Amino acid sequence: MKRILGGLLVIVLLLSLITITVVAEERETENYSMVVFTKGAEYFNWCYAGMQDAAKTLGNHVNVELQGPSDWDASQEARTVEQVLAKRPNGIIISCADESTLIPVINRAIAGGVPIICFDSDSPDSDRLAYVGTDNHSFGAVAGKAIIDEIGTEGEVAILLVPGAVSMEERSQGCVDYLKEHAPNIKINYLNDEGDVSKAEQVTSALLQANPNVKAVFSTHGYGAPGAAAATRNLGKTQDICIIGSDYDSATLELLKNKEVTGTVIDDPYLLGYQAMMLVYASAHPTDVLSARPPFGHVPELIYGNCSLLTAEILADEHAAARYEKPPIID
Amino acid sequence: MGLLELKNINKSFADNLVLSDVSLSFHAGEIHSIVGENGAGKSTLMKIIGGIYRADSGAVYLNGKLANMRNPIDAYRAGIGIVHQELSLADNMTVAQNVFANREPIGPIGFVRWKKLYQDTENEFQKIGVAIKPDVLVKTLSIGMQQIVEIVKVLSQNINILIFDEPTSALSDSEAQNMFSLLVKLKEQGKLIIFISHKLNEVCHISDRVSVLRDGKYIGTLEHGEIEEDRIISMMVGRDLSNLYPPKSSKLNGDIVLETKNLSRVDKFHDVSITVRSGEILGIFGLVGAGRTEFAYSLFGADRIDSGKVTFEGEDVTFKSPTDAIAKGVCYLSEDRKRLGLFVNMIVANNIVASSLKKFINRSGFLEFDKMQVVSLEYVERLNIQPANCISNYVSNLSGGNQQKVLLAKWITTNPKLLIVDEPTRGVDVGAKAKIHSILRDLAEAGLGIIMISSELPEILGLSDRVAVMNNGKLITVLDNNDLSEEMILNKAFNKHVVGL
Amino acid sequence: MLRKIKNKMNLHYLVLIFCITCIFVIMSIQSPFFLTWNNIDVLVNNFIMEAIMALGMTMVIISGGIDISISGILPFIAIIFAKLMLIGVNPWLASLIGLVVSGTIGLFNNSLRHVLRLHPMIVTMATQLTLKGLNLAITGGSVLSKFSRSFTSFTAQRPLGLSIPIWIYILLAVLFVALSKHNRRFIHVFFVGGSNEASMLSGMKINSIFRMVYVISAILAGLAGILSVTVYNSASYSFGQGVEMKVITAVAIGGTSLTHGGEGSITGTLLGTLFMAIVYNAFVMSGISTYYQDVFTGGMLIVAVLLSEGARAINKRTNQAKSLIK
Repeated sequence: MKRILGGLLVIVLLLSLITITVVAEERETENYSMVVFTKGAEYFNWCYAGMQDAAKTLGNHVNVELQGPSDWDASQEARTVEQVLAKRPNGIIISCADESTLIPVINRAIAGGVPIICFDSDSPDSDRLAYVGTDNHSFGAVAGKAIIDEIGTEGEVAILLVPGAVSMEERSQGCVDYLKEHAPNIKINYLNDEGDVSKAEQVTSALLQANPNVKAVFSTHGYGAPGAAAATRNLGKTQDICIIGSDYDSATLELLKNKEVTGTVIDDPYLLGYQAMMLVYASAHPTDVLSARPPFGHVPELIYGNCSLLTAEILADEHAAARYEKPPIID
Repeated sequence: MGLLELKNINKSFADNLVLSDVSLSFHAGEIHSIVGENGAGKSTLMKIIGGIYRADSGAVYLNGKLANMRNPIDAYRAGIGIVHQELSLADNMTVAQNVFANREPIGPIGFVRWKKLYQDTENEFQKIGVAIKPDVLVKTLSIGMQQIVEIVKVLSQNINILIFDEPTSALSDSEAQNMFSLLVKLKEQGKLIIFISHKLNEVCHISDRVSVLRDGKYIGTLEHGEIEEDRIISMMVGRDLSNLYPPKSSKLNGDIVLETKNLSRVDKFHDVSITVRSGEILGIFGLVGAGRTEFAYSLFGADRIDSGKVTFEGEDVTFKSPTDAIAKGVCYLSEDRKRLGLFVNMIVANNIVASSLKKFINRSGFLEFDKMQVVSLEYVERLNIQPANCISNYVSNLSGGNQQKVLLAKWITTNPKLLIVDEPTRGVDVGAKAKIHSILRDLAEAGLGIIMISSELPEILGLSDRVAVMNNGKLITVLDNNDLSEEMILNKAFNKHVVGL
Repeated sequence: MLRKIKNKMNLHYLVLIFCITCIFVIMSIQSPFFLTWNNIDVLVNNFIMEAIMALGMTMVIISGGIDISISGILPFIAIIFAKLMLIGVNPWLASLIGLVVSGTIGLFNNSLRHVLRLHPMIVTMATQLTLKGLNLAITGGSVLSKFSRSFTSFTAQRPLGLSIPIWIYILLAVLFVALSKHNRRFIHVFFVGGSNEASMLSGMKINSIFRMVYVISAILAGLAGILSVTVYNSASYSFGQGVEMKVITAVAIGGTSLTHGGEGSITGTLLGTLFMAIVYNAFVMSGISTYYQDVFTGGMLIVAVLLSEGARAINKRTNQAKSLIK
C-alpha cells in the first residue's frame, strides 16, 4: 500500500514539474470579480445579475464571478479579496462588510494596478476608485414620508437597527430628520434586533405590548420587516401598526401582497451591480480623457441610485410586479 | 520488629466500618499474602499502606519509625509501591515512557534525554532478567507482558515493599508462573512482597506467611508450615466448607441440546466439534488465547462463523445476532460483566428483566412495573443476592459476586435451553463462588445444558461433568470427568503428550 | 536513514501528502496563476490564523479535551488590543496585555472544567458565547480602526519577503514540533490523553497538564486576534466567525483523534492545515462555487477519520492474531 502510494506520489510530482514549465497562454479574455459578504443573500444575487448582464453587453471576452464568505465576517471577506487578487483579475467590485477592515487589501490592489469599485456598502477611507450605492439618508427620508402618510403627525415610531452598522444608522438618521421636520410631535424608539428575524420579532412584540402609542415600525435592514410583521400577527395588530421595511426579497414581497407590511423602501440592486461593472470596466480601459486617478480610466467617484417606496398597490399591477419577481437576466 | 508494622488501624466509609482494629507485621524478604472474602477489607488496607486512603485511627510504622503518608507520592518516597489490579499503564505510550512516567531524565530545557531513558529502561528490565525493546508501544504487548512492565515501573523507583493486588486475574497460567518466579527472585533480593489474591492455590503455592481478614477484622496469620487451603478457607468464612463443590449430574444421558460440527472462524478457532446434553455442565478449559471466548461469541451470534454447522435442539441453525440466539434460548454470560453483561448505572430490578422485557409488556404496549418488581424480588431471594433489599440499588454498588448473580438472574428470566457462562467466578469471593456453583448445578438439574468456560482448574474439575480442552484455537480433546487430575488437563492444554493417557 | 524515514511516515501522512499534491497538480494545470509566488503567499497568509490556533488545539485534543472558545477569544483580544492602542497604549505593551488576558481566559476555562467537572465542550462553549456577547457590548457593533501611522507601517513590513504572522507561525511550528516530541511536559499531555488513571498513579499533576493546554490554546487564539488587527488594521466583533470548526477540522484531518485521547501529532496538524489552506485557495482560484468547499472538506474529514480508525482496527487485528499464534 505504502509503496503504491509512494510511486503515485513520484509520478504526480513529475507531472507537476512539467506543468509548471508550461507557459501560460496569452490572455485575451478579461476577468472581473464581485466580492460580497453573506454570499447567498438574495440582495447580492440581484446585484450579481446586474453585473452579469453588464458583462454580456460588453462582449464575450468579459468573464465575471461571485465570491465571498457566507458569514458576515469582514476579515474573511478581506481574505477572499486577497485570493481573488492572486488570480490577477482585471477589476473587482466589492460590497464591504465594514468600512475599515478591507482598507489594507483595497489599497494594495489599487497600488498593484487592479481597479476596485465599491458598491452597496462603501469603504470611503480606502483608495477605491468609485462608489455606486444609495444615499442612505434620503433612503430613510422615504420611510419617514411613508410613515407620516400612514399615521399622521402624532404617535410613536420604532426603528429597528444594529447599532454601529453605518448604513443602518444613516437610514435611521434620514428617517428621524424627516420626521423632526414634518411631524415634530412624533416620538422615536430605537430597537437593536441584531439584524435577525426572530430577534426583530421579540423586540417588536415587547415594545408593542409595553407601549400602545407605537403606531409604526421602520426596519433599516431587510430582515426587520418580516420579524415585525410576525409580531403584529401574533398580537392581532396587523391592521393597526404601519410597518415599513428596507430592500426586498421573496418573503417581503409576499408580506406586502398580504398587506402585513405597509411598504418597503427599495433601491435597485440590479442597477447597482450593472453600474459598478460598467465603472470597473471603464477604469480598466483608460482612454485619452484626462483621468482623476491615473493610470486608471476616468470614472465619476460617487453614483447614487434612486430609492422609492414599494407598496401593495404597485405590486397589484402584474407587469410591474414581475420586475421584482426575478432579475431581468440576459440569456 | 518487622519492616512494616500496622497498629490498630480503623477505617470507615460513612457509617460502614471497613477496618476495625487491624494490627499486622511484615518482614523483609518474605512473600506475605493477605486473603479474605470480598469486602473483608484487604484492598482498603493496602490503599492505606500505599497512601491512597488515610486511616481514621491507628498508625503505620516503617523500620520502627512512624510513617505518615498522605498520598501515593509520599508512599513511593518511603519505598512502597503498588502494582494495581487494573493496569495503570497508558497504552498509547512506549514501554520506556511508561516505566519512567513523570521521572523521565531531562536535559536543561525540559527535553527528554532519550538515549538515557532507553538505557535506563533496559537496565531495569535486565535486573529481573527480561529483555524488551524500550521503544515499543505498550498496546502492542500481551497482557502478561504489560503486567511485567507495570512491575518494572514500580520496581524502578527504589522500592522495597511491593504490593500486588490481584496480579494474576488477567494472566494465563504460564504467564502467572513466570510472574511467580519473578516474585521469588525479588524476595531473595530482600524485598517485602504483599500479595492479594482470590486464587488460594496460588496463595498456598507462593506464600511464606498468610494473614486472613474477615469483615474488617484481623483473624490470624498462618506460618510457613501451616499453610493449607482448607485451613485458610475455614478462617476466611468462619466455618468449614467440607464440600466445596455441589455433586455431579444425576442424569448424564439427556437429550442433545447443541451440537457443533467443524466450526471455524479465521484466526480465532478451527474445526471445533462438541455436543452439549441437557442436564450436564460441559467445562471448557484452555490458556488465555486458546480461542474459548471467541468460540462462545460465534456460538452466540456475536461474531460470524466461517464454516461448519451448528445444530440446536435437532435443527440446523445460524444465529445472525445475539437477539436471534436469545430468541431460540441460548444465553451467554460474559467474562467482562461490567462492559458486556450488565448496565451498571441502572438499578438491579431493571437489569434482571433487561433481556426478557417482552414478557412484561401489557396489551397497550406499556411495561408493567409491578410485575417486574415481583419477578425481580423473586430472583433476588432465589439467588440470595445481597443486600436483600437491593432491587432499587444501582448495580455498580454491589460486590462482584452479587453482580454476577444479577447477571445470572437476567438470563434465567429468559428461560434458556442452553447457558454459556464465561469465567463465572472471576474476582468473586469464596462464599459467593460456592453459591454460584450450586445455582449452576441446580439449573443443570432443571434440564438446561450448560457450557462453562473457566481458567480455574479446580472449578473445572469440581463442577464439570465433562471437560473440553482447547489450545491455540483447536479442540484438543473432550474428557469425562472421572478421576481427572489438574496435571492431566494442563498437559492437554499445553498440548503435550502424556504417557499413560 | 531512508528506511527510518519510511517507518516514521505513516499511511495517514502519505495519503494527505498525496491529496495535497494532487490538488496542487490539478490547480496548476487549471489556473496559470496558482503556482505563482504571489498566490502561494496569499494561500499561506489566508490560513495563517487557523494554522496558529491549530497548534494549540492539537494539544488540547490530544489531552482528550476540546476548546471551542477560540472563536470568542480571537475577536475579544483583537478588540481589547485595538481599544488599548486607540487610548494611546504602546503596541508592544498592548500585545502583552492581550496575551495575558487570553491566558487568563484559558485559566478560567480550565478552572471551570476542573472545579465543576464539566465537559470541556460545555465550558468552552459558555466562554465563547460570553465573549461574543461582550464583543458586541464593548464595540456596540462598530469597527475599531484608525490606528497611528507608525503602527500601520510597522505591521506592513515583510522581512525577507514574508509577512510577520508567517514568521511567527514558522517559529511556533518549529517550537511545537520539538516540544511535542521531546519536552517532558508536552509528552505528559499524551499520557493524560491516553489514560487519566495511569498518569495519576504515576504521580503526574493532571490538572496542571490540562491547565497548560487550555492556556496555550487561549494564548494562541489571543495571538491570532492581535495579528488580525495588524493585518486588517481594524478590529471587529465579526472576526473569527466559525473559526473553531475550521481549526478542529484541520487538526482532525491531520490524524489527531477526537475519539481517543493521546493520539495525534503536531506534524499531522501541519499537514492538515496545509491541506485546508490549499482547498480554500483552490476553490476561489478555480471559480467553482465556494458553496461546495464545505462539502469537499467534510468529505475529506470522513476519509481522514476512516483512515485513522481503519489503521487502528488493522493494528488491533494483527495484534490479536499475533497473541493467538504465540
